[in-house]
Amino acid sequence: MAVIETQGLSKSYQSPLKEPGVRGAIKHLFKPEHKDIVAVSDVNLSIEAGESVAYVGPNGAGKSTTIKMLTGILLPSGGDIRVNGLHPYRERMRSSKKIGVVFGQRTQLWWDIPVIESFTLLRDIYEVPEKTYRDNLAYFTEMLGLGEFLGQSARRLSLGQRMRADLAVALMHNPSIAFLDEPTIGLDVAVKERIREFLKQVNRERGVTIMLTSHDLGDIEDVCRRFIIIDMGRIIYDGSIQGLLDKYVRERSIRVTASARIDEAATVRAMPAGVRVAKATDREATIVFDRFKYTAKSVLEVIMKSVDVVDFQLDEPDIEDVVKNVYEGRLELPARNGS
Amino acid sequence: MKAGWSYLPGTGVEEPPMLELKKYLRHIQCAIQETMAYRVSYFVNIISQFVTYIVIFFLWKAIYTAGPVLGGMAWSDMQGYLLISLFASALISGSSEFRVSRSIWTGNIAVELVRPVDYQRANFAITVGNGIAEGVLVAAIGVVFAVLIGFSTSPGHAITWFYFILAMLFSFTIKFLLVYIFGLFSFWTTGSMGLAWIRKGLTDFFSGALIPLSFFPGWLQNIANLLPFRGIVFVPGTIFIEQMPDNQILVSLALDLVWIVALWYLAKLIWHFAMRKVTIHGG
Repeated sequence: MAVIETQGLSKSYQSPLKEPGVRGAIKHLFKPEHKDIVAVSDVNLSIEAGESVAYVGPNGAGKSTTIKMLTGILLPSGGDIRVNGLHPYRERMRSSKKIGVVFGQRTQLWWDIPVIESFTLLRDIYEVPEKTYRDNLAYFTEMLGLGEFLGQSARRLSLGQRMRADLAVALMHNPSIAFLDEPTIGLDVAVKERIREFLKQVNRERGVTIMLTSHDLGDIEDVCRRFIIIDMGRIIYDGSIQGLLDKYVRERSIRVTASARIDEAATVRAMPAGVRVAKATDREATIVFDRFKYTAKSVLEVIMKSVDVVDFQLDEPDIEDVVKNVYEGRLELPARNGS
Repeated sequence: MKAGWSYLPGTGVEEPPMLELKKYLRHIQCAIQETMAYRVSYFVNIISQFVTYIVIFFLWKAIYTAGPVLGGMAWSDMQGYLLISLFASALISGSSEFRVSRSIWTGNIAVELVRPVDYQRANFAITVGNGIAEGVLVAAIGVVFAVLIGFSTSPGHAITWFYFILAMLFSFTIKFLLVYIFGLFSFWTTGSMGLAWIRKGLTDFFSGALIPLSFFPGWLQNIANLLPFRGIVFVPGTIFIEQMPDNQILVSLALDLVWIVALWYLAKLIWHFAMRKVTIHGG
C-alpha cells in the first residue's frame, strides 16, 4: 500500500519584487509588485510502507517545499496529495498524528525547560499511552544515548544532542512515516554514524517509512534504498542508487603506475576501441573504459602487455560525482525516469 | 470527499474533549516553567511595569490636587483603578507579545504545525501559563504597593468580586486575541515591532489603561464603547471600584463575551487566509 502518494503536486507562491535601495522599498510600499515563483511542479510520488527514500536536490530545488506539503504545513497550489490516505493540510490534525517530522535546522524542543518536559508535552499532544511512552523512551535513550542530557534545558544542548533528542521526539508516538529534512546537518562523524544506525534500525525493525533529504550522500547510501532527485521543482530521477549508477556512470577508470616512463602514443595505439587514455604523466596513466563493454581485468591485461605495471588503482563509480553533475546541470537526465 | 472538509483547516476538533483538554493543560504547565526559567527577565519585566505605574500613579496624584472628585472618581477610586490597570497590563507581557510574530518570522512555526495541535488554542494555553506565572507575582507586588500607599478599599459584596474576576478573565482573553491577531499580521509584513507598537498604542488609549474612559469627551467615549479594548482595563477597573451600575456591568460583560467570540473567529479567518497566501520562511 502506498503511504505517500502525490499526483501533479505543485506549489507556486508570490514573491515581492523590489528594486534595490530605499527608492525601491518606497516604491514597493505604494505599488507592490510580485512575481510568481514555482517551487514544485508536477511531482508524482508513490512510496510504499516500509521504504527508505532519499529526496535529493540542490539548494532551492523544492525539497523542503515538498516535505512541508507532505507534513501539512503548506497547502499545495495544485495536484493531489495523500499521506496515509489523508490530505495532510485539510486533515492536518489526523494526519499529523501518524507522521513524525524532524527539521534539522529547527527544534521541536521547548527551549527553556528540561528535555524530558518537552517529551511529556509531546506525549500528551500525541496522546501516547503511558506504556508505549515508557518503552519508547527506554529504547530511544539507549539507542541515541539521551540519558546524559534529559534533565537539561534544550538551550544548553550541543547540536548533536539536540538532534538526537529531536529524533526521539519525532518517533515517540510510533508514526508510520518519518520525514527527516536534513537530520545530520552540521553534525560530526560520530553523531552522524549513530543517527544513521538508528534510522536503519527504526526502518528495519519498526517498519517506519523513511523519507529523508540530505546533502550528505553518505547518509543516503547508508540509510536509503531508493533515490529521488528533484531539480528546479521537477523530479528528474526516481529509482535505486545502483540504477542511477548503471544508467549514468558508464565509465570507469584504472590508474596505473609503471616502472619506467610510459610511451603514451604506443599505449593509446594498443588500446581496443572505446578505451582511452585520459591522463598520462611520466610514469603514471589513467585509462578510462566503458564498464559495460570491458571488464577491469581485460583492460589491465592489455595495458600490461605494453607497460611494466608496478601498481594500479581502480576507481569505483561514485554517486557523489553523478549527483554533482546533476546539480551543476552537466548531466542530462531524461525527465521523469522510471525505476 | 469528507464532510469535514468544510471546516477551517487545522482547527477541527476530532477527539474526546478530555484528551483535548489535557494537551492544552500540559501547554500551560510548560509555559509556567518556561516563564520561571528566565528568572532575571521575569523580575525585570515585572519591575519595569511597576515603575511605569509608579510614574502614572504620581502623575494622577498631582492631577488630583485640582479637586477631590474628577470625572466622577474620587482619588481613592482612582488608586484602585490604577492598581487594576497595572495588574491587567502586566498579565500579558513581553514574551507573549512577540511569540507569534517571532515564530512566523523565524519560520519556527513549521515545527509547531507538524503536531496535532490547534495553533490558536496552543498559543492561548501558553499565554495563560505565562500569565499565571507572572500574575501571581504581579498580584503580590500590587498588594504590597496598595499597603504602602495606604489603599485598603476593596469591593464589599461577593457578587462584585464575582463580576470582577469574570471581567479579569475576559480582559485577559480579549488582550490575548488582540495580541494574537496582530501577531498573525506578521505573515504579511517583514517586521513586527511596528505592529506591536500600534497594538499597544490602541490598547493603552482605548482600554482606559492610562486615562479612564469616563474622562474622555462624549464622542470619544462613544467610539471607545464600540471597541473591544474597554474590556481590558476599564470594565474590570470600574467594577472593582464599584463605579459601574449593576445593569451596566451585565451589559459590559455580555459585550466582552461577544467580542471574545467575534475575535476568536476573526483570528481563525485571518489564519485561514494567511496559510493559503503565505509561505513558511526558511529551509
